[in-house]
Amino acid sequence: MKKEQINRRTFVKASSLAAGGIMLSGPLAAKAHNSVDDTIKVGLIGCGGRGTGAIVQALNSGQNVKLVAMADAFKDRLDKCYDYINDGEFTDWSSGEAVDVSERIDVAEEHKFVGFDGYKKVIPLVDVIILTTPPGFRPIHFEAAVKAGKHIFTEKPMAVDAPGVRKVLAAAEEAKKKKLNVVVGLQRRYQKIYTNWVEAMHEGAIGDIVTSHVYWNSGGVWVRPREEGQTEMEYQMRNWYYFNWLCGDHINEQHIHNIDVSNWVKDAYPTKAYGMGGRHMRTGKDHGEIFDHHFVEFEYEDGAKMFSQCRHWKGTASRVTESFQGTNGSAPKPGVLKTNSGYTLMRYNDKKDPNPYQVEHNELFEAIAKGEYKFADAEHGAKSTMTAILGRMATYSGQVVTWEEAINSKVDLLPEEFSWTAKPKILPKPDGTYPVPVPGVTKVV
Amino acid sequence: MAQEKYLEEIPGTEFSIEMIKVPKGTFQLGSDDTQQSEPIEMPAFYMSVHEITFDQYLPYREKDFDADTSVWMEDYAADAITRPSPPYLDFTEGMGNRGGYPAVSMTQQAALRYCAWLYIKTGKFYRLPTEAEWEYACRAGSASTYYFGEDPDDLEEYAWYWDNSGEKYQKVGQKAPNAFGLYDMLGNVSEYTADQFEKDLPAIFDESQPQALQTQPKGKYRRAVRGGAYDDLAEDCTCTSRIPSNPAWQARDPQIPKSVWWNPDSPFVGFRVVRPIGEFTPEQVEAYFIKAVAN
Repeated sequence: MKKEQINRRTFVKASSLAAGGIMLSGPLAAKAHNSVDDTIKVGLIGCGGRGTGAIVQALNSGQNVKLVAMADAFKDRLDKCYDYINDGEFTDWSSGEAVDVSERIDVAEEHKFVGFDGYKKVIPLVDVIILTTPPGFRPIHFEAAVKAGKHIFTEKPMAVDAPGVRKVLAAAEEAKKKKLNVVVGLQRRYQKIYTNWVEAMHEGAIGDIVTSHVYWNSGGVWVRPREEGQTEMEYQMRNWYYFNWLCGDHINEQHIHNIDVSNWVKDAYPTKAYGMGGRHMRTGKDHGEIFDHHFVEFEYEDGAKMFSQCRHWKGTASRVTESFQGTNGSAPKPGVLKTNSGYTLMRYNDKKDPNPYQVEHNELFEAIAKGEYKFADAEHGAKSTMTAILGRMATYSGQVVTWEEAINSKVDLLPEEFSWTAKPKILPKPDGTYPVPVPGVTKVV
Repeated sequence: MAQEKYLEEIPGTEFSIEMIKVPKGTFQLGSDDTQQSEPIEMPAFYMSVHEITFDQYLPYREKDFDADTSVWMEDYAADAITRPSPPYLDFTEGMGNRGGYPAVSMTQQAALRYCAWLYIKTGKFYRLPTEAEWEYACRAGSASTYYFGEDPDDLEEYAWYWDNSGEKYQKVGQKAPNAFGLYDMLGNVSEYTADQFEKDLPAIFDESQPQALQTQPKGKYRRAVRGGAYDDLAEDCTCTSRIPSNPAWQARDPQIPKSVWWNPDSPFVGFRVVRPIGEFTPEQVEAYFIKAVAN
């Protein structure tokens, strides 16, 4: 497979030479990309809502991309995704453009893989892997894709526990050595309002950053009730958001976006965390084990603090954003910078900026088509994942937890075996509810 | 020469809508920068002087603010009307909803259903403007980028936009009107039209039918929205500025499928109404709404 990869790259190079060394653009590029040999073959691993969105964006990236293989644990989810993307006309999420990618789909029936091992069969068939399963599987899938020498688009977060993060970090090193492009779906890093804003802070526009406030306060997400005849494994896989071996809690699954912005601005990762959290609104049998709110005070090595809050409470004021204080000024919201005396340094209008979920795919597939090595997102993706997990460790335990303790944790949340009859490590109590973390009691490292 | 005006009192409420007659005339859709249509003969029609406000919209949205009163339809019952589901959060982000602020954050289909409700209450055929009607009314006889000329520095006098709005919509009617007496056509809130967003409108435009939908609308999104808003730059608040409605405007809606009524993430889009001149049978009006709402 590695050979095929090299051949494809060589072809791209040769075609640009054939065009007289001219940059691939205009009609020449169109010609080059019409060649059968130039097709970038993509495999989708994880065909839920986000996987469906990601594959449409990949196929709509402006390159000669074809979807050739798909995998999901569930046949119904795979079929639903396949039918949806074949359905022809729908509307791009933010440009409002009509999108039809059905001509870029070429998935033979025998290349639709159902079950826990489907990823192994998809990887050899393609050039680029899209990883959009629940995050618990990410380290396994990411490691396998890197081992096979594939370019990768992977959703965040990168893991749910420290052993998973360590696995991803090791694979990230290997990906760098192999010059594999890896884009992580922390799309704010591909969003102009953020890149302009953060760059200005890196240049010192508001001095040294001393405080970060980051938020993901919303009404929460879906719940999938238990159905007759489901094994415990199937039930947890369907209702995955509420189980840590699959999701890592919402501080990890969603709030990582905002935590990552702080790490990006600081160009550092916290050294310790202290916080509180619990289950106040979401306490039923359908709600697994995760908390519905967390508040964490993270501390960076230079003494700067990040105050992080996330909650899933229906009917309360929502807030999903980041703000920063510097020694010389403030960054009250994305795109805005002010001096301490109130003078506005930056006020960025992003209303017409492109959809960052599309941009991340456009940039990745353009680099791949040109045979360039440009993206190595896995390391910061894994470390921001670790930051969110550190926050969870602090709220679950109620203790001060250091980065060193956290990243070296031996607590492995994943089951020993993946099958529909295997037992997850967390099981319901006789009353149907699940054991939940108890601060002061629960051990996290 | 004064234009004809009237006040449409919404039966069963304490609110009314000020309507003004837009005179007939000739214009070209689009601008030199884009594609331009052939000259279009536009008949006269009535248009609301202002964007529809929350005061005018809430009696429709909230059954409790509506009374069983209609000036022409017997046994009108507030209970029997299809109304929006109650919103689950404040979509106005604290910008205000009483005393003259434009109504925002509804889907285009909800705006159309509001027009249908006005019809049921008054017997007069109110609807959203077509893109051509909107642009004709906005231009008010001008052929320039803005209806007052080409200089974006003058926009301050006519519109709320990025440079002067404080990133909030404002009460309607505070800035200068255009030559047809219409306020806030540019800026404040963008306005829904009835048309599907077609990328190159002049190319597909049927000049003989300027008041008709140019294509059959499909799906929930991609309706043409005009005029720019309080959070747009001056260059995006022109007579030809247009964007398609899109799924991002419902990003925070947690329901599956997403609401047919609410756009929690488009506090910058509202609408105004027009009333075509002529006699329309209930069957014609109903056929229009079925075609326009489309789903």
